Amino acid sequence: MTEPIITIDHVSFDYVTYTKQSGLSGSWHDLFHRQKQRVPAVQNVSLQVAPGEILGLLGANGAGKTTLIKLMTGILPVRAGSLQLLDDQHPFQKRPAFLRRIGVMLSQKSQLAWDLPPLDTLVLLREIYQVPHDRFTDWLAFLTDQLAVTAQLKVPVRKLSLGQRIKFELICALIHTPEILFLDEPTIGIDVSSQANIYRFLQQLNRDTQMTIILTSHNTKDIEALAQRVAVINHGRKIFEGTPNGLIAQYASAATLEVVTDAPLTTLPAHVTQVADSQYLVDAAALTTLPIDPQHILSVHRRNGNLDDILTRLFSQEVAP
Amino acid sequence: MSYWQTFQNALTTTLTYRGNLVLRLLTVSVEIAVASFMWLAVYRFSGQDNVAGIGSSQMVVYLAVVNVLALIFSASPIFTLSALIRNGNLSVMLLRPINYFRQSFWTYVGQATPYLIIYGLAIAFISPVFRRGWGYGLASLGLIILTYVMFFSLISGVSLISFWLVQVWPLRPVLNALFLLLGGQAFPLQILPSAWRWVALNPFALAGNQLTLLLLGKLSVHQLTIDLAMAAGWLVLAIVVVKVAAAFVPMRGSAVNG
Repeated sequence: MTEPIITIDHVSFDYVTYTKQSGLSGSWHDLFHRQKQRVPAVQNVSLQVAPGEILGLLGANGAGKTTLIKLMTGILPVRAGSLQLLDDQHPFQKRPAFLRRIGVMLSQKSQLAWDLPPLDTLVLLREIYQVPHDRFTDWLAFLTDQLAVTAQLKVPVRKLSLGQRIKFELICALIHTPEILFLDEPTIGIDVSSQANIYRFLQQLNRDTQMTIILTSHNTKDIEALAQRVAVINHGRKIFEGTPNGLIAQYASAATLEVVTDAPLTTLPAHVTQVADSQYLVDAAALTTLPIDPQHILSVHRRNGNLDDILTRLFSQEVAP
Repeated sequence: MSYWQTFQNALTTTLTYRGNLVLRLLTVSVEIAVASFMWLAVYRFSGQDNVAGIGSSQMVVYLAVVNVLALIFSASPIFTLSALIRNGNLSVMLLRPINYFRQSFWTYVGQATPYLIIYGLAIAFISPVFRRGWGYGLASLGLIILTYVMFFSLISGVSLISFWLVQVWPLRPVLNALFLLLGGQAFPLQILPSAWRWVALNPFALAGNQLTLLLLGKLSVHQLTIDLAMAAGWLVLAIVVVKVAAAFVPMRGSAVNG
């Protein structure tokens, strides 16, 4: 592995929250005796990311993915352990030189001025990040063209669709060509066509510029399309790190294939069980080849072998403290 | 240049809602009219043609100017920061390699520009400020700028309370009342008994009462000097408050110091 661009070493972070009792008497009690509670959001996580890599962070709601991104970007301070991004060991100090090298798109948080066209915000960002004017013009033309939003550059943000807004948020995060791009739920709430457009664009960007991308998403399609490596976070702990295929290989439970054919089979081969009209279960452990004519196969999946199934099972497991 | 762009965007946003701008000016005009009628009635029934050295026609001008100043010296940064904290967008702002407060200042200037133009035109063409010599004119300009920066800094200091208070909207009527009473929006502070004259040195009075007197040409060189010193003093205090308070909130690094 080349020199990592991100090194997270045994990092932990606790949130302090206050519990609230229900009802009027509870509220009265809370006025004078608030119950403080420490919530461990990230626990002893270690991770390394190589330059040019696309890392997917997977986890259920509240698993600690976004907190980890906030620690990496310096929004939150590291309470325990150490964290180094690029050559900065203290992202929380938010040195301008450090901030100019990262781009961040946080889900449901907006950089865009609601009443102004996206172009006005982008021009502001050009000045903030000191992007040369000619480079800005060319880069912006490229980005808007790739994401198919050139026509919306001068339309007030409040009049844009959600998909168009998300694309402009992505452009805001990229306008200064950061070395590391953090994307928190980049495709939430947008249609499949726009999702495909974003996937293709990010793949090209990563390939052409070697930009490192850290991606969190609940949408496993995002991870499957983009991530070269994944880290699974559950209850603040890292429970898996490896390739998406490695994750499937490790957690797919049974060597059983689900096969869908274009018509019901006339004869049922050995080790094949019919579950519906044209749907069969094949015991892969007992066979070396598929005993069904490939011309009639519509799809083959390993049972419990898709990311959604695996993650559902993983997230429902409690992790021992 | 980034601050210039911030200013432009804030001004454009203000002008985008032309209806709101016009409505606000109309509302203020009604407030001025009501206050003026009330004071004209006071003049009429008291049988005096001046109160604390201010004639009835000057009182109407005073009320008009002080109400425009109330628009310029708004408490909007408190509510802007509170909204950013509540909706989580503060994270996005803090990730920009730019000083949050400086950016906020230029937004403040951009939002107040239409009213600043009204006050500026009045100072340039109606007020006797520049007819009292260039020294006085420049000192007056200095007082206006210093008071503006001071008031913004003070409001920014107060805005940091948003990190501890979930809702800051109850502060709005309090701040309005402070400007109304301590800023001289309801009445010129000169009518207070001499033992209470020190009230005119509070930040709200510098922003409202004193800048109105300046425009009316009623500020002596001595008063102007005292006001300049007080504005500088309040500014230093406000900067200290912001620096100290910012140390306890998650706004480290360039967001505050850069």
